[in-house]
Amino acid sequence: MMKLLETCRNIYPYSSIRRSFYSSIYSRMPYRDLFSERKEPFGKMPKEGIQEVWKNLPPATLESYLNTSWSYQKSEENNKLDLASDVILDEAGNPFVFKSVRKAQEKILPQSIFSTEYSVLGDQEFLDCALKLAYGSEIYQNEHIAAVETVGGTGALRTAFEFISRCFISLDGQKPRVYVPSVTWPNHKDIIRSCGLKMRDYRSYRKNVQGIDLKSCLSDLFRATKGSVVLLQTSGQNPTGTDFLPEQWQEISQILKDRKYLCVLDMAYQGLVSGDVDTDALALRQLIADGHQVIVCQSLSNSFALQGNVIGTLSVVTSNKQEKENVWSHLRSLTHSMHSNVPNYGRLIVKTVLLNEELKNEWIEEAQRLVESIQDTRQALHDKLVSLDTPIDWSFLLQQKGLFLFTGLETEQIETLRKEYGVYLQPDGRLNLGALRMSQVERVATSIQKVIHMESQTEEKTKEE
Amino acid sequence: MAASYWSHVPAAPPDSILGIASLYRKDPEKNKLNLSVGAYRDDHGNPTVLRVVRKVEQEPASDHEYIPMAGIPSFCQAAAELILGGKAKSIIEKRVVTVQSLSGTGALRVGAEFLYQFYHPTATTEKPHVYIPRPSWGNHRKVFQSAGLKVAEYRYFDSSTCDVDGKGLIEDLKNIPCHSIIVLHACAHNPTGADPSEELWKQILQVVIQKHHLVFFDSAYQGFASGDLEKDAFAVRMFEQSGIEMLVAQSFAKNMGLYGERVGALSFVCKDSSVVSCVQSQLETIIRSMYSSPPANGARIASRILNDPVLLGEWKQELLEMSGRIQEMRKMLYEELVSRKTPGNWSHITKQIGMFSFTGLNVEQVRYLREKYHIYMTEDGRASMAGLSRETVSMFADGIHDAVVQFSLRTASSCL
Repeated sequence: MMKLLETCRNIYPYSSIRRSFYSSIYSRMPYRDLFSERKEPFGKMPKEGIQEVWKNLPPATLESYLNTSWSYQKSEENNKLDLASDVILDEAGNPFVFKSVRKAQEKILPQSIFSTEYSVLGDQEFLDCALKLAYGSEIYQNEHIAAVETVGGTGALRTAFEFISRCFISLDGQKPRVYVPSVTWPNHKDIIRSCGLKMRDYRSYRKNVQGIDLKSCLSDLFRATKGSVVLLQTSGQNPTGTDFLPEQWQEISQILKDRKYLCVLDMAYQGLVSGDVDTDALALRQLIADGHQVIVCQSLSNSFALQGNVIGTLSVVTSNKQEKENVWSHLRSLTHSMHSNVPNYGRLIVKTVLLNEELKNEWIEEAQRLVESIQDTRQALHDKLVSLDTPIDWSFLLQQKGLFLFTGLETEQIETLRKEYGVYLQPDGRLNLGALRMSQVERVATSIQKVIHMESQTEEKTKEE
Repeated sequence: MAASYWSHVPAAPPDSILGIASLYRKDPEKNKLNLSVGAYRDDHGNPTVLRVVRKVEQEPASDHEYIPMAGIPSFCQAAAELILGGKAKSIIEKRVVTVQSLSGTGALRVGAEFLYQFYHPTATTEKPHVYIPRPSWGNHRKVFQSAGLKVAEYRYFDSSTCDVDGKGLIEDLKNIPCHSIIVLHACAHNPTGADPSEELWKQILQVVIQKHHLVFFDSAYQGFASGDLEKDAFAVRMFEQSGIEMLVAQSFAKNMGLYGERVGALSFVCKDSSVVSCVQSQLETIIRSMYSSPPANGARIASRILNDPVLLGEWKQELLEMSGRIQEMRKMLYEELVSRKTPGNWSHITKQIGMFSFTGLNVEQVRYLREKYHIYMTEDGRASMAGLSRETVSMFADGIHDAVVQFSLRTASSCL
């Protein structure tokens, strides 16, 4: 494998062929080992004089979804519209802020956030209220759940997979394989790869099938090695917007039990999917009730519209107090070697909101209203698309839930949308409804319609030819 | 109920600082004194908020948007200029890559991950080891090991003289394999407080160039050690001027009092500006799979202070005050111990610099202090001078005197 890489490097020094070859290699090998087995030095090392250590360092293969945000920022068009990133905007186009969060900020302001005692042990109060939100106050028991604060959802996922890589032994004594949904947040795969774990896909989304493709999902999961790790998103699937139904969760729970899979849950949009925090956490609570020892990676940045404040928690359900202490010591050791402690400001805001009954209820109400307005935008976009002349049945858009719309557009169509019409979507076709204002719905709908027609026109032309 | 997944997991090796911190928390005594954590306290023992930080905090809150993976650009630029000097050749020639990090630990970890993946100076598979001073900050070893690198030590502290072991240091750096990664504390060495002299720094630079080592500076106390930002960056700037490539990890936790907000920066000084974009893209890839993007709040405050001349002047003034207070505490402690005629030579307390002092107490004495006087230090004898105040100095001196007298027959360190 390495010989192949060397040959490739020698024949195609800086071409795009090499780049795409690298990216296909990237997707198969554990990232950590890719360059660490290298035999040739990277740098220019003369015997005398100053070394140039990074001389032949290759550039990173910039993932296509990052290319999108990069090209959005570089673009000088006036009417560019960013529906690719996941910020939530209000009707005026400014970043959306919950009123309850604003009130919490004002509460914190008189006293400097730096005047509180700096503790290396973390904030147990914050952990308790954040986890009670996820697990429900009845289920959450401090004694059995080992939890640490992390730097957002990404930090939680990274710590979780580092922990699995370090401490979880699969039934065959090897490092486990992680099963991820075939269409998922691209960073999931990067994180898992950088922990040195191998991955396999399981199907759960099929393009023209409404809802989860449960049959393929279960059959793929059934064929996995016993004792593997399965990654699931609780609600508000990113990017497909297609969640498992409660009865489907029961079937998943059954297969997890039968095949002894370890389940890692990614909880990032609690409260912003259905408008009710308890409904969005139903999947987690059902799995706990069925007795599964799940690992929960919770992100609170989106739920409180506090992007830029990276707030998250990681919790591991164990079976007794001693186990919890042991597991916690590993989690703490992992976060300690990554960043010692988490930023204070974000968790202070979340704590202030959740511990104050009034603010908490206000936040829940506002989340509901936000979800309703996003639903209205979704409905408006759907209606507009239906009213325009397109060969596609858009009813699947209404079946999806959460902040995102999975348009199902092809790569070329998305490129055209970006180049000709200045509308930026994620390369997999994800559209952020949180950033789409009512006033722009018509523009986006007409652009999509034109792009589809252009595509069908070129198809007809090639058919004629 | 099925067998638990985690029943086979043993407890992780205990962390000394965390252990002491939790003991301190559980102690019901009112007059307990915490000298274990490196957090600055004012003369009443309260956490300090810098006035300039408070001023910037009061400004209208900016909105919560994601910031780029590499962090706020104005902050990164200002941080690099702070440590390397605004007129540094490498900055003018645009061959410095700086990314925002989660304070010093985050900078070290991202740098370590980068080195694990991309530092291949020789044609063998044996990867270069990381060399940290003996002793060093407790977390250094863990951070580099978590990234997959092997860690070894070079001699640094001579407990017989309570000063830097210059001869041993140079010998060790000459004997280790070429192209090794050397971690150097820029100033105010943690935990000993003993820094190399100017002459010794020059010798270290010579050995580094001769043996082609890769230097990784850890700068956590710039401005805090002597009170002067330029003076504390002397070693880093000397290395930069020589033209070698190196890494610098900066932390603004202590010198700007931004502990809780995790503000730091990692800089790569490269030989040529052509590699800058590659290094930047690889760093962003590493950051992305660790925490997507860094937190905005603390870096915004730091950026404001560093980029505004008025605020910068005020900050420099406060640095002088804080470092001055620590030096005063050192002097007071020394005088108290001398006046009590405590056995041993205590001059190292005033000779050492920075927040910490390697008192020279052994494990038994430290435990005695903890149990009888409720004074908490780490078990290597390191005490935070910043945690002392005028009222508590005499209590600390009493405790040391008592402990030394009690255990004088079994003193481990000969510098007492």
